[in-house]
Order: sequence, then C-alpha cells, then structure tokens
Amino acid sequence: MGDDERMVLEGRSLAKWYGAGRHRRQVLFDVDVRLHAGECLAVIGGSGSGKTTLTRVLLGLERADDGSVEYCGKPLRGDVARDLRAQSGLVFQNPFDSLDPRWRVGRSVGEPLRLHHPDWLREHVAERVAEALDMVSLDPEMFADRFPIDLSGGQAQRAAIARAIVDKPKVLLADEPMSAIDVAARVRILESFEAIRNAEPDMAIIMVSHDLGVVQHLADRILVLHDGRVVESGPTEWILAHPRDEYTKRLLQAATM
Amino acid sequence: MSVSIRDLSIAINSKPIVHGVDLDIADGERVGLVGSSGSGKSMIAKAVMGLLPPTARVEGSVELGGTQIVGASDNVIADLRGRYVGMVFQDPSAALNPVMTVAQQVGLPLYLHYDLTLAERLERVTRMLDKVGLREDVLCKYPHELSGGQRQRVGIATALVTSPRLIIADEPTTALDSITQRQIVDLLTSLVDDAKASMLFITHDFTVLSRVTTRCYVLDRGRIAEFGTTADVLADPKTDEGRRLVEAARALSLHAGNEGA
Repeated sequence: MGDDERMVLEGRSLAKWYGAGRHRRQVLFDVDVRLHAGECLAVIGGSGSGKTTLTRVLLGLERADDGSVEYCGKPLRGDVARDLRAQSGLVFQNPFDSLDPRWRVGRSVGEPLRLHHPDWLREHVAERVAEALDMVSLDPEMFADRFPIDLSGGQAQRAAIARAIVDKPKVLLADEPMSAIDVAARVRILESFEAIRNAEPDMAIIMVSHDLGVVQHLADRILVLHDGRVVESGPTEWILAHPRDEYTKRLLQAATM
Repeated sequence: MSVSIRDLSIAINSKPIVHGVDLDIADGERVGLVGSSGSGKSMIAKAVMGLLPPTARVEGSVELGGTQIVGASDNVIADLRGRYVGMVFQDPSAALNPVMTVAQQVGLPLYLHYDLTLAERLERVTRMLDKVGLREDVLCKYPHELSGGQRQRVGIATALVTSPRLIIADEPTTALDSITQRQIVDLLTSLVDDAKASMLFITHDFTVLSRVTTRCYVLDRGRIAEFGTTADVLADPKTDEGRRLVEAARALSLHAGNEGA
C-alpha cells in the first residue's frame, strides 16, 4: 500500500500505432512502466525504439491505442490529464527550441509561474525565477536579463531546465537533454539535475537517453526499450553489472570508454 | 595525403576565431581535433577544405600534399577537393540532397570529377555501398526513407567513393544514438585504413577520439592548447581545457570494470 501511495505514473500494457492503411505500424508493444515520487527513471534505447512515444503517452501528450495510464491512482483523462499537464515540466534536446528568442531568459523562466499563478506578485515570481536559475548554477544577476542568443548551448539548456522546474512540478521529463550539448557542458547539466533532486526530494524524473553512460549517476532505475518493447528493466547498478538482454549488452559496450 | 597547417589565423567579419594554429597530419595518419563548441574546430576543417565563407580573412598557410590552399583559386581548390578530399558531416540529413536518390547522391562526386560511363559509375557506387554495409535495395531510396545511421553510411559512401587521400570528418557521430555511433566510428576507421588515406577527425568527445585517432590536438578558444598521442593526452592532460574534456568524457562513460558479464 505504501508503495502505491508513492506511485505518480503507472502505465499498463501500453500499445501505440502510428500511420494509417499499409503504413500503419506498431511502435509500442505491451509496455508496463511505473514511476514513483522522488525517483529518477531512465528510459534508454536507440533512435526509433519508441522511448519518446512512451514518455509522451505517459504524460498524456498522446493517447495509447491500448492499455491504460494512471496519474496518482486516477485514469489519465479530462481533469486528471489537465492536472498532470500543469504539474509536469518538460526539457527537450534542443534548448533553443524551448526558449523564445525574443524574450529575456528571466521572462521565459518565469512564464509557467505567470500562467499558473496569475495572482502572484511580480516580486514573488522574480524570487522564484532567481531560485530556479541558482539551482542550475546560472547567476540570476548575470543571466536573467540575457537573450538566448547570448548563451552557449549548455547555458541555454540549463535555463530551459530552470523553466521546467520553476513551478516545482511533480514530474520532470527530460528527453535527451544532453545529446545536443558538448561533453564538457553535459557534466554541468548532470550537476543541475543532481541539485534539483536534492532540493526537491519528491519530484519524479524521467530521463530519456540513448546513452547509458550519461544516466549512470542519476537514474535509480533503468528501462531499456528496443523496437517498442521493454527488453530489460531494473535498478541501475543491477542492469550495469548484470545485463541479461543482448541489446542491453550492446548499449553497455557503446558507453564504455 | 599529408596536411601541414602553419600559423593559421581566421577572422570572420573581423571577429578573430582561430589564432596561430599549427597542425600536421602525416600520410595515412588519423589525427583528432578536439574542443568544446565554439572553439573554432569546424573553422579549421573548413579552411582545410577551402570552404570558408568569402567574408573570412585567412592568414598563414594550409598545404594539402604540398599544394597551398590559402589564396589559391576556386578552380584549383575545387579540383583538389573533388579528387583528393572526402568530407563527412555531423548531420547527414542536412548533408544529403533530399531530392536525390542514394545512387545519384553517391555517384555525384564521380559524375562531377571523373569521366566515367553510367555503367562504370553505377558499378563503383554499388561497390562503395557494399563497403559501408548497405545493400543494393537502398540505391533508389531517398534520404527520408533511411534511418539516421543509414543516412550517415550514405554520407560516408559519398565521401569515400572517389577514393580520396584525405578524409575530414566533422563530428560525424554526434547526431546518432550510441550503438550506431560505435558502428559508424569503427566503419569509418577501417575504410580509411583500407584506403591508406589520412583522416582529420573533429569531435568534442574524447570517448570517440580514443577509438579513432593515434594523435590529437586540443583546441581552446581558437588556439591549440596541447597535442600529443591520444593515449598520452587521455592519460595525462597537461592543460585546463585538456583536463576538462578528458574528465567530462570519463564521467559520462562506463568503465571496463563496470561492464559485467
């Protein structure tokens, strides 16, 4: 029972098709997935494995053709889906897609607060924006007034992360947040996620990646997808030490220096 | 083909990007150029290919197999590039022409720079596709019908079909997933070695570099911070930028002990 109380998202027997007619093909097959409060789940797989589709279905951005999703124990539709949308933060691969090029960073980061809490005072919004920027090691004094074009890729991604967490969401989805960023800057992004986990112990994080090396320090559990099927899932140390599936072994090899 | 870069400086719209770079590649050698984004590594690659924008001011010397590129006429550079230099780019979907089939794309350098019959061209294209692990059924496909890894294989086939003496690979695996990255890197390395060509491999990721190159140069804000054998730089980087890049690569990769059974 205690376990169920901590359950934030649960997908059961999820199946999804794309296309129509003779182009119709299945991209998810009978996927079960659970996400608990305070947990970081890594969804790992190559391009086309269905990892982005799975996370979009889980967050109600897309409907499964079969199976069910529950958010905090309630079927994901109507008001529940709306609640989840307001209580989730998203980070994508290309940070410059998440930030309006015409807006200063501080305004972009504060936008979710202004949308969800129209009654808040400007000072309060500014305070929370500064907190969020601090969390990702961007000095608010220096960065709140800059435009995205004046940021490096790594800085822009950290600003996008600040925007995603500024309203303290229950679920944070990061879809390949480091793929487009150079290696040295990736380390800073990992540190930002670690700081967020420490500051918000109840936030559940889904990290989508093709790279096991990137998620090894962050993820509590790993779910490996291959061609739309879960080929392996379990605690991170366990999967790294005892991969059973052939595909997981190849992923391990690919991440080994 | 050897490359000799001496005191190369590049400024674009009078903004200096590259400062006094010296870099050598011996015949048949695989050399890495590693640096963060914005360090100027792609500019150096473009200088070697003679592809800098007209607004660039270039000083110093870039010699390919003894021929000076800096200040040479477009005809000289185009001929040299077409026959002797092959390029592989980061984003294969941007590098391939979306309205050309694979056969047309891979055959294009042959069509432009060599006097071959259609049958001879097709024969060489098919042989090249076989070498990069693509079957004949992709010949008539368009880029959008291929996966990212397949597209990069087509990109490599296009770069190598003229049997170039120098391959310049600018982050060829960055846009690919990790398993495909390994496959592409290993493929590129073996093809370059088979052809006894030289390679300049550009990346921000030491994990990749260690598999591909014997020597490397670390670029920091347009200057060469350090260089040496890749094994030495990896084991004992001497500069801040070298250490930053090596430590990041280590933090983001698994180590052999972790690997398990």
